[in-house]
Amino acid sequence: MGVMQEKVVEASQMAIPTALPPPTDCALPEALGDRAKNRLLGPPLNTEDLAHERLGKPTALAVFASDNLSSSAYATEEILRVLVPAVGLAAFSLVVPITIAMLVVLAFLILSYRQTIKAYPTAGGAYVVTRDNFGILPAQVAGVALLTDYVLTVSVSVAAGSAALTSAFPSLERAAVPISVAFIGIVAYGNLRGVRESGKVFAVPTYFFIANMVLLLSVGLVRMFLGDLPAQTAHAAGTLPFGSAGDGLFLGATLFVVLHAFASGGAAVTGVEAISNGVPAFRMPEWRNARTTLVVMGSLLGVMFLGLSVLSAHLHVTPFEHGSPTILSQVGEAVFGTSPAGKGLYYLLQAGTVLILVLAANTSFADFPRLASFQAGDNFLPRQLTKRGHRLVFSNGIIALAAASAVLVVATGAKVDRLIPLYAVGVFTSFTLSQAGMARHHIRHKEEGWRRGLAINAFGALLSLVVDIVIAVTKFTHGAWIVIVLVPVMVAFLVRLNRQYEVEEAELEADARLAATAPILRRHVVLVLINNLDRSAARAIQYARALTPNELRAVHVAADPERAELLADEWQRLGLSRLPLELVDCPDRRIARAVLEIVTEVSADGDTEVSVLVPRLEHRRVWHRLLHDRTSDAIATAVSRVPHANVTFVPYHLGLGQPSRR
Amino acid sequence: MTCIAEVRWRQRVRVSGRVRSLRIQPLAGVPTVQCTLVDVTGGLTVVFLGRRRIAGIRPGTRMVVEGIAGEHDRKLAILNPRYELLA
Repeated sequence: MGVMQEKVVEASQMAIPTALPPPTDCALPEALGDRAKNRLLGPPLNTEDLAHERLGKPTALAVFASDNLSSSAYATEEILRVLVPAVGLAAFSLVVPITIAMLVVLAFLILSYRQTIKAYPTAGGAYVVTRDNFGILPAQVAGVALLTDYVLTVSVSVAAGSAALTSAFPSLERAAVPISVAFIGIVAYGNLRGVRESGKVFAVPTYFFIANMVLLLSVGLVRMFLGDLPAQTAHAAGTLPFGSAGDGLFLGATLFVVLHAFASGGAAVTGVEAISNGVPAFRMPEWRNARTTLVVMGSLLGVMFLGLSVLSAHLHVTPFEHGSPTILSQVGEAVFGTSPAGKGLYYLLQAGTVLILVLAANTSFADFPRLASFQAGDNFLPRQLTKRGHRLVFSNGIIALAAASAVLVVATGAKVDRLIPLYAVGVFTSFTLSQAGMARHHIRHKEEGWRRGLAINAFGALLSLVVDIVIAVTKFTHGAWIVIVLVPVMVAFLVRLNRQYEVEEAELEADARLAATAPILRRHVVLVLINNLDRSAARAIQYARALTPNELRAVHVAADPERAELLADEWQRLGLSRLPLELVDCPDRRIARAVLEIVTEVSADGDTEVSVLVPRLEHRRVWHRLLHDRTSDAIATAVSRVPHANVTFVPYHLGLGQPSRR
Repeated sequence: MTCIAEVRWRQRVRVSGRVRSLRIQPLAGVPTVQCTLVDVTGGLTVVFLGRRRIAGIRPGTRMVVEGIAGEHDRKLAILNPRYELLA
């Protein structure tokens, strides 16, 4: 009987095990930050949703080619902008040959990148290629050069986009900077939400632009051959003044001008690398589809760039000092004419241009965070850049890019021609490094057809190097020096950063297992910080008792002597757990400092582990929190500086009516 | 007058300093007033057994105490000293 009864008692005391509650049944409200993110960005995505949406060739072209194709909207203009003031009318006979030269470079780059795509079909890009073939340091040069250029791509694209907008609506010209910044904001927001590879969003503007350009060029060229398209002879106010062509004496100077114009046109080939960065996003067989898309992209760019240059040369369109209306806009107006239908087509063209330029900025928003995360993963950029945010995108990288490009846009007043000189140096540096890396790859691995590949990539590297030097030299005084100075400085900075990470890592990892078996400190002293004799203090003391320390002390920092006196009286009358309360003098009212002094003293013997318990109110509403200061956080920060001092917040949940056990 | 750093165990001393901290004992506990007296050179414990509060002794109070240095809670302490509050 007795035994039976005991068993029954035991059973009734033992809770009957049940299944865990469903995981979504979390009664706690979400943090304010999360709620804001849910509202702004949509619900958080799970890591397993990361799987790439595979893209077919037409969509992939739209996604990856917008940066490259959009260059045709401003490349001709930048060439003319250099030529017209220097050589005058001769500019219009030089622009087409320069364009062709640029396209030859483009053709070789595409040949080279076809090799890269095949050799690095998983994660490509200049950074990875350079890292694998030349080591980590040259890779930083490639990385920094590319990051710089991604920032510039965003700035140039949105500036050109706003120029296209103000060409159609001249009254908006004064708002160019806010418009550009707004474009950056929109694209950044879209990327934070995670529109990165939602292809259909991209397909519309890209193909819309292509269609408009093709229409413009075919109408223009047909009218040109019919002799129906007169060259502009009268020049509107605000266009660049004409220089005079140099005679024999100035041949050298003219050559320099031509090279400078060529360098400015170099902006056209930026974005070629985008496809090689995104090979994994293609449908099977990835590398073959990527190669085809690359060639299609190059051909489209070639047709549009060359066509626009031919038309501009024929029409003698002259760039405006302020960059608006743009060359493309002037050509559009001339070709489509002033009939209502022509006007309509012109506005469509401008709309398409704005859209694709904004999309081009978007390409950088996909590439910059990814590259930054690679570099951060190699400990060369702050770790925060490797973290995927709420919507699975590298949010910090997106924000960094948006901030940097917005600063640049504001600093240059959203003027494309002031940004262009900074542009392209970085891209060609990374082209050179990645092509040279590919050449090394061929020599080392000797895969099938490596001799041909080596020839292509070695020539590609050489060509990129030559173009890079031309760009650096001719544009040096116009602003390229900023990039040329910035890149080494940045690389030095990254190396310093890397050393810091390595030192930290080495220290943290040294004898970790041994450290875990080291003898623990002999004494454990718990200090409970008391501000008032109330439930939050009581709760902290209860918790302290659960820790069963060697010594338990309740401490009040008497920043306000009168209040301390009142608390002392109250403590004496009521007490809490018969614990003495220590009143600590704090004549300068620096509470955190006073606590730090006590902790230092207690842990001075080197054999004491100190726990400081800080009662903290947990509020149910955000504004409730504003009613209290956050001294407890300041205390925690100060105390954590002492070794073997540990801070624990003991929360008291306001509004829940803490039921007491006894 | 001795400076606190020079106080030795079992010595009769007279020291002057500031009350840095004061221990308040609840009524239920053993009646004791215990405080830490510090000067620029160091600090020691001053204990008044059998009393709950001493008027005038608060955190920050300056006073002179005189007595034999002993031990309390494994720390150097003066028990039941003669004391004199300073203005």
